[in-house]
Amino acid sequence: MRRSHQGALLLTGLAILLPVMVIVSIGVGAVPIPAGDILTILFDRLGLIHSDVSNQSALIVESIRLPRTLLGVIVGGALAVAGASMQGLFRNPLADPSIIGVSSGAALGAGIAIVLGGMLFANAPSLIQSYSISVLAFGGGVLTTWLVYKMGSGSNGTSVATMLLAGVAINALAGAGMGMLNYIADDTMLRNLTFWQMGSLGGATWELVMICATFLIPVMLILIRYGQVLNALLLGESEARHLGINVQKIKLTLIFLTALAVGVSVSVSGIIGFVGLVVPHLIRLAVGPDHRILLPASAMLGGILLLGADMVARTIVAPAELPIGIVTALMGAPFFLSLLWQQRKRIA
Amino acid sequence: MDRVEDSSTLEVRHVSVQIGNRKLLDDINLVIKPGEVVSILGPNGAGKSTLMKVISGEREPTTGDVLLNGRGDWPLEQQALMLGVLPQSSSLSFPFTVEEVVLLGRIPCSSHREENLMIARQALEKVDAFYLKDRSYTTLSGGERQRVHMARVLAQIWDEAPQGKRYLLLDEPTSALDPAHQQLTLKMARQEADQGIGVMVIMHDLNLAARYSDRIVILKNGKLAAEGAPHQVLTPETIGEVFEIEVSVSEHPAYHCPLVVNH
Repeated sequence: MRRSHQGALLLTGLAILLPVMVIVSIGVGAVPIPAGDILTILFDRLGLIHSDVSNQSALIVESIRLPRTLLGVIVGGALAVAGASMQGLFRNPLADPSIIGVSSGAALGAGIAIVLGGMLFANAPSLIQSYSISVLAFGGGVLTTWLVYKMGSGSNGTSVATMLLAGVAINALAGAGMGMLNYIADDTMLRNLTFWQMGSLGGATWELVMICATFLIPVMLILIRYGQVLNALLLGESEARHLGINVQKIKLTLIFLTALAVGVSVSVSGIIGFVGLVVPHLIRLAVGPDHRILLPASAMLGGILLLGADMVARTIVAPAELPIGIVTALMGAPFFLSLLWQQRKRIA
Repeated sequence: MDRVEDSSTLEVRHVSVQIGNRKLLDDINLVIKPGEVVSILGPNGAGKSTLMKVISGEREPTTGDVLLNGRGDWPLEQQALMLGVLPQSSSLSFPFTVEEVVLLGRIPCSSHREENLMIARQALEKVDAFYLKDRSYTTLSGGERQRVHMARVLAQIWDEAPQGKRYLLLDEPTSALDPAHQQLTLKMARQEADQGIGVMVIMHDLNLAARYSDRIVILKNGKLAAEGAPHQVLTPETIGEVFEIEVSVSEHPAYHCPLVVNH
């Protein structure tokens, strides 16, 4: 079977699986809600039918599970698309926002907004606070992406070793910054900071869903349109230029968009690592590296995977909850190690 | 109309490239006409690849201009329809299939998927790599990769461009190839030229250059050391002066071009 057919098949399969996962994710929890009830509640709220499902279920779906699930779908998709785009830009399948330090750079930005912003405008409306966190997280993301790119890139793509080492340094630096913030933060801020560093979808509100929807969905859609350009970039920068692509402009655009995706994701859900590494890799294994398939497929599989991880995080130590960043790290880090193992000759 | 005809060349005018005090290229003038194969020879570090980079627009000359069909300021996506560039080596490390790599050459073109696929396959046949089409690029040998990229560049300038004549720049296209594929690649360059494409090839093999070029340009230390038909340029004196080797030159028994033999 030709790869383009496989790609179409994969996209169709994921498009079916994603809504199924959404329903399952809404249903799972301390109070299980049957799929039929969920559909009735959703259709009722959309004004399609009139339902008589119990108020308690409706309330749980509406104010807790639905925003959390939507947040997971959008953040998971955005992280996976950002990872796939970064790997294309760096011409390097090991580039992941969390590994190369972009996520911790963004988290440091978010941390600064939480601690210092919290002190500055303690009485400002929460919407302004949320946006200031997003903006600073984005700033941290852009800065680190640019730094890693500058450090690691040479004429033959980026050097894996330099990139990973830059990531180590940036993670350490951001860690020190976070430590300082911890030191001066009060109790509430401290809890917030911890949450950001470990990652969780538990803080989901409709407000955050709206922030995500306004930034992340457009960014994903724009990045997906760069599929063919990223394919050309994989050949090398001068080759891409010979194919009529304005490489310099494209690079800046891609750095901006991926950092925006990572920054906003981190600002709403903290550091959720390895999604951007694992998802694109799985898809490349199935249908090859063509970004025209890889990017949309990553968007969907990223959402699916993060919902799965969130269900594990919610249920494994119930009634308590594990930070989702721990779950993705437990799944992703061994995966990363196995990739390193396979490529160890090339890296050395 | 006459002006348009006149400007249908790839012209390098008074190009110099300077880094610090070092002149990589020193006042180079060169014209490549549609339909001819021009070989660029010269010792390592003579400035051959720098010249190629200046012509392809990858590097800005310190002074001088490059005019592609009379214009020096083509938008990149239009230039890509007229100018195909084969680099010395490529750093692709993602497992595209060979056919997918060749299809990347069709990015600047506005044709349909089916047509692109047909062209990609014909280009692969031209470089004797059709049998590789479903292989993963990352599993190919150096010579196979070079042929695949050749097919990609051929696919890129496959159609006549409405903007003007087409040109092909090849940077050591034969360096990783076995003798049979060296011959095949240069024969193909010759065929492309016969179809009205201007071809510039950087080479090291004097005899391959002698057999397949209309003109030979020799660079040394960034300067144009000699230029002309193979029998004018490939003389024991010139070769001795430029490459610092002693050779005898006779006539090739079959092709009647110069035949260079090392002492």
